[in-house]
Amino acid sequence: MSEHNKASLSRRDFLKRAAVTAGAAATGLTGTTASFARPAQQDTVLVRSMIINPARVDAFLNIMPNFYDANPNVEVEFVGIAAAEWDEFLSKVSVILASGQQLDSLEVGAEGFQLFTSFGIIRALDEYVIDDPDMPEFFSDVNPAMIESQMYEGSLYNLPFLWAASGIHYNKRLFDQAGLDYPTDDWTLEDFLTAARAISALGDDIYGYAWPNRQWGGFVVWSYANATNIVQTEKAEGGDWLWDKFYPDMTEEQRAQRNGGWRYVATTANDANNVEALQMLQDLAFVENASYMVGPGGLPDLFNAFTTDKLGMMVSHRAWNATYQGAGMSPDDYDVVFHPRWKTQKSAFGASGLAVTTLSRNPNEAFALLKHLTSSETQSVFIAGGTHTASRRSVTNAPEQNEGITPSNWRAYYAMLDDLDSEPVTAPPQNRDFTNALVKWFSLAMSNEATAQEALDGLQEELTRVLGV
Amino acid sequence: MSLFTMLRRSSTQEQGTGYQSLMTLRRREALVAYLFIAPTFIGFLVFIAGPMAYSLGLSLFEWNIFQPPQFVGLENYQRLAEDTRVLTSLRNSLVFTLLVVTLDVVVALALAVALQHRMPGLLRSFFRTAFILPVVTSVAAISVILRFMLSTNVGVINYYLVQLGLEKVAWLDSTQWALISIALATVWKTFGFSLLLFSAGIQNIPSQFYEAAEIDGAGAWRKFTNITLPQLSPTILFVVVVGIISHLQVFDQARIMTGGGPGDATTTVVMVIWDNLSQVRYGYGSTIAAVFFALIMVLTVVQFWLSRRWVYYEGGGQD
Repeated sequence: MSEHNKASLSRRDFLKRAAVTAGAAATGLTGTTASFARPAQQDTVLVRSMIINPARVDAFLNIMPNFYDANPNVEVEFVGIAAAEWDEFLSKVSVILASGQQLDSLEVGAEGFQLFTSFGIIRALDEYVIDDPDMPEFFSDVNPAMIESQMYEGSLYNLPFLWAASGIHYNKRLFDQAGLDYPTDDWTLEDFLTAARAISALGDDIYGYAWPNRQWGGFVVWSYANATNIVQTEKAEGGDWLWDKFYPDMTEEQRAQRNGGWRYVATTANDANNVEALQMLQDLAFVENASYMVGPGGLPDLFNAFTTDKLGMMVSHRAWNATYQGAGMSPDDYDVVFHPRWKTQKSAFGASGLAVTTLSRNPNEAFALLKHLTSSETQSVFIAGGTHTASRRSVTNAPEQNEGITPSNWRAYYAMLDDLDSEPVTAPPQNRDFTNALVKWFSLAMSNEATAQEALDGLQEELTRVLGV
Repeated sequence: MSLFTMLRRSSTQEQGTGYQSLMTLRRREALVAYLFIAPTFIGFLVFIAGPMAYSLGLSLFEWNIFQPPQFVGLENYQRLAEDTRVLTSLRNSLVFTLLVVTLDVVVALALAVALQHRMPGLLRSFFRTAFILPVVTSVAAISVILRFMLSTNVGVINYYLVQLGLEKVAWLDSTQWALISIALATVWKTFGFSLLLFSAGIQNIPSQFYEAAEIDGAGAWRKFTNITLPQLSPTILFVVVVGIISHLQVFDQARIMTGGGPGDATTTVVMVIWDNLSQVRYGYGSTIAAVFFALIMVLTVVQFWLSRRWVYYEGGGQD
């Protein structure tokens, strides 16, 4: 053997050492992965909960200390799924479910509610709720329409934790510049149009109103305001067990409005009222140059315009108080008001909560987590700083949640549900197809490449095909 | 007995003939070679070939994840043939790719040639850095910024157009301009990489060719068409083939900048696949993916076949 071979590492030795190193590394990694999945103690129950947006994990962890005090044997793992919209979240969660990974609860919003219930992914909570001693107090603090939005075919599938209704945020600085009085909750469509025109006249790059082409906050609320809907609904039977037990003081009229949840029964996209609503928005944009629409994912563009005094009015969400103030606005610079009255005055709302999955290995503990989110203390901590809207009326309307945080008419946020005949945002089970069709046809209308009638005829045809109704 | 012990003993055993020793040595070398490529090959099998085969099989089923898959044979393929949205998206993807690849090659080649001219080294470095920066920037970040800049109503591009006395352009809000806008944004993002390849290729062209051409009285254009282009033709082929494969699969920019609109004007094939998977139609989504894969393969083969006519390989004329 040459000196070179004696001194240097032979090929055989190199391969031997590399194989040993790789094997050691693999063993180490395997050990790490296993310990990540295994609970810390033998008798600790792991509840795995999936929420939209990894940036929110910290906010959920922040509300857990009381839960762990009450449930010392339960460990909760929050997994944040990156998604710009609810349908992205749903598609990713579907894949995770199909892969067989443990998933005890997941955040279900209005957009995915019927998808998950119709496929049997989330568990009915009737048996958990009916005899729970804490539920009467919770239900008394939540508007029954919000509760019914979590029902499907007579059963309750979720307890709402957060929610939002669509009203209008208006920029007071632009209203002042235009010499306009601030709107009140009983304002009308004419008042709205007058304001939009006056604000747009302030400059070429200033607009009175803008709206996002998306499911919640988009055209649907104008459809509701004009006493129609894109997809006609009817109420499912059932739900008496809940209304009789938890809302015994409802008047006959109120009780008549509550049943077992909503069903989508017929596409009515191109009815006369919808055409009228879309025509109004087209005229406001192309005839009066007072409005525009942004595409999916365009909400940040609206925030930019609103906070830099380029936009007078946009759809409201209580969670956006933190966004406006982060951009330099103070609560005195803007306010919130009901959506203007047209043939009706109603909002489109959506509620979300951590529904228990039917695949959960620990449903009781998952329900305990869901119930924890309904407590006043938990909700108060979570929405502090104007970051969202709590399902509990008393929390959303608490003085400490609003003074110096939300604008002066902050009572309107919850009143959109209490005082108006609001409905859940249109969200059939075929959510992705529905959203695609909506976005496609409204983008054509609002780029002035289709008349309102043409766009809605196209939407009607497409929705009839994809929804089957 | 370890593998290596076995190999060592077999190599030191008395062999009947020198031929047997040679074969054993070759076998050992082959085994070592296979061991070296094994990690990549196993990765390819597990993460690429395996899922592709699975997806191809899934295209014969209807599967919504929550219930067992249902065999439907070629029904998904029949459905695809009649799906106008798929056909529209395919047209959009092809038009987009044609625009981007053509502009990419033209712009990158022109700038690569321009950078060969005498200029201070610092200036040349500045230009190269400026051209390569978009390549290394996140496509999502670029798309979000450009969506705002190209906004019809509040975008900065239209603001300056109006200042110049021109009309606003609905860059992302008209069926006429939306796909072109996304294509131009993509060219801006990607041409720097092609420019790098062309620059390297030009620097490898022997200077004697240009000297000889100058002696013969050739001007800049003749030198470009008769020397630079033929010498660069293999690189151009590479840029075109890789560009077509990559840009046919466009998704991020279209999704972020327009969401596929207005209407279906910027809906691409990958977006349609994604929509179907999002609506838990895994069988049909796999069908679209399988057909799209076949189309890309056919286009690639056609390009290589056509390349025989215009690609010049040194040492043997056209190959």
